[in-house]
Amino acid sequence: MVAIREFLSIPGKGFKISKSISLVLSLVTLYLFVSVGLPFLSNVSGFSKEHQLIIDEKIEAGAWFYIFVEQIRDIEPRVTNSLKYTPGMLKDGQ
Amino acid sequence: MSNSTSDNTKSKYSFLLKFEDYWAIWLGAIILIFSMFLFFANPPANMDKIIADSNATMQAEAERAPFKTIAWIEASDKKAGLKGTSAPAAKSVSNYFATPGTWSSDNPLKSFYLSSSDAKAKSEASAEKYEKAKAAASEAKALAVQAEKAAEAAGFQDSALNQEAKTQIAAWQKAKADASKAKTSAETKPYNRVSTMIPLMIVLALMFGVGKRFMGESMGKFLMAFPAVFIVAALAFFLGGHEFAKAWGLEYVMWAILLGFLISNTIGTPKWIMPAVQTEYYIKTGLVLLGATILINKMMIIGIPGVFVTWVVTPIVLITTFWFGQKILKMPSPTLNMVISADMSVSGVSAAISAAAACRAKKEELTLAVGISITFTAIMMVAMPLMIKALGLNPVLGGAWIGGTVDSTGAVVAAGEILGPVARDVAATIKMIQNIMIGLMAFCIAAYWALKVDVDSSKADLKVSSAMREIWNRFPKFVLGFLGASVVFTLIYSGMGTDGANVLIDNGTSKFLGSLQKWFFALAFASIGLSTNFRELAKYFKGGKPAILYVCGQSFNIALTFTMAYIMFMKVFPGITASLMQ
Repeated sequence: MVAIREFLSIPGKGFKISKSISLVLSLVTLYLFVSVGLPFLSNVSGFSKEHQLIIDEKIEAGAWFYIFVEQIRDIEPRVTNSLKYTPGMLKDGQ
Repeated sequence: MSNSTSDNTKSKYSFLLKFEDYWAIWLGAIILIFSMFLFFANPPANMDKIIADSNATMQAEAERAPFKTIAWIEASDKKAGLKGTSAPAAKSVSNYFATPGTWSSDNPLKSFYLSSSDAKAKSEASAEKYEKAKAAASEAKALAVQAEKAAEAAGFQDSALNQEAKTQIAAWQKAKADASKAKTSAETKPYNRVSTMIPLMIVLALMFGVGKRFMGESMGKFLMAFPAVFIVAALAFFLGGHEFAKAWGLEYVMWAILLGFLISNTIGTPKWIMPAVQTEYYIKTGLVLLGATILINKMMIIGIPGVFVTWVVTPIVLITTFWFGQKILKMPSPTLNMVISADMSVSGVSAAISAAAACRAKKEELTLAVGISITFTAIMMVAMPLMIKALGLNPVLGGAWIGGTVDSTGAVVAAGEILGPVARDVAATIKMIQNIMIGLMAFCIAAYWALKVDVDSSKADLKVSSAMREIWNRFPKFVLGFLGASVVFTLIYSGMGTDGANVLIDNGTSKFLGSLQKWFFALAFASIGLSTNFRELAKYFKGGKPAILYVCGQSFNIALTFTMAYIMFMKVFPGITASLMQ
């Protein structure tokens, strides 16, 4: 209760209100940046073709560790199999 | 007498429940044990037989033909289809760890909720496309079979027929992949992420809250505050879930910091939220779990060239950049220098988090390092493959170059995808090997800081035993949990063998733990934002030295990685390059 009261309290002269409005405006700006700004920037920078490929392939380009990247789960066994069972090389004992 | 002994033992070991580092280890251990029971007790049916049969087929086909035949590819796909996460129990539990999903500007709600009617409408709209894709895949397979038979009839001695078979098989694989994607859309299921996020929030609040209680803080206040931090984390996932945010590589980490930042620098983070603003607690627990995915066995996946491009180049770049920052740039903070050096040379955000926790860097320093890394990665991810294409480099060399230099793993896969499938596979594998370095890196940084940096000059003349105790006191204990998890899971991986471990660890525990870790790190970065003052952060960027350090270190990294990749893949081990090109 104390916490809620503290959060909702409006100190004198309406100073808190302007801060609250600035928070709301910032959040709206952030949303617009993501939903409108990023696609626009993609076009302007000339990266739209590459970005569309990343979207179509469902790659999470920001994923920062290998376990967070879905594609790695297919890539790893594929590379292992390619190196272990390389066609055309086993006959020569390579 | 016995009571007194028992009391002594109790007080002697009570520190194990009073400190955050130990709680990170206990919580991590409980989750790891749970995940082991969940996956190791429920392997897919006939797993061993399918693996053995698939391997025998691939071996026989590799001896029979000079290219990957249809049977070879089908055997490989059958093995890849075995996934620990497909067990019903694992599916139900993992469902609760789901984060808000991908959305596009026309429907933001899709991130949290998809109704049955919308799912049905999407499935119906995609059904026709799927049928067409399926028919195209069947047709492509028929052509591939025909071409392979023609090559076989010539005893695989006619290079033109062999090449035609390879081309048709590649076309079939592409058609099959398209059909698989179309199938996913045609089988869209409804979901409600809010209904799974609420129970997850309660469980996480209780889990971390119990630890806080033992650490002598109020569990009630923590439980009251936790939902606020959780909501910031969920909103960060929402913003990072936009299709273009993903394409730019702007994941939840950045949005969590930004959202927290907006709150703390406008209305100010309310005091009642502060008990749950626990950056280090969440990061350390997340890192202990991350340890279980640092599997040393993967180091040799691409052979010696991979080791040279990662485990030789990376430490050289890390140490040189740190030295450059200290001696030439004269960075005012060694911890900021170390976090940026690790972030740039090893693997971006993952290395920055580990290094920051190991050398006890300030949260503002971690924020700055992560911000610089994300900014440069967004550009390098697209610019590097375009440059490699323009230079006409071999895809294996190009992939290795990208894997060793672009910071985050997702960006590496994206950059590789722009270059092509061979480059993508090599780039991702090189990055994965580099990722594994963060365990050793964190240990070395923690040891270096305890031995050399955080040294109290007044205690310089201590006896060896006292000095060792001092070092132990300064050493971040959670790093032991991080390394312990890595050692245990590496041993289990070895015991299972690569194929079995791929099913139960890579496609089992690691995937499961990954979903949970995302939440832990989102909570950590939300906490960073909620407790950071913009003026404080700006101080660290003064003079632009952090950016200069990153640019200089990355330039050195680009040059050295290219040199090493060229020597290894093009000169010393061309056989491995040829195998990867198949």
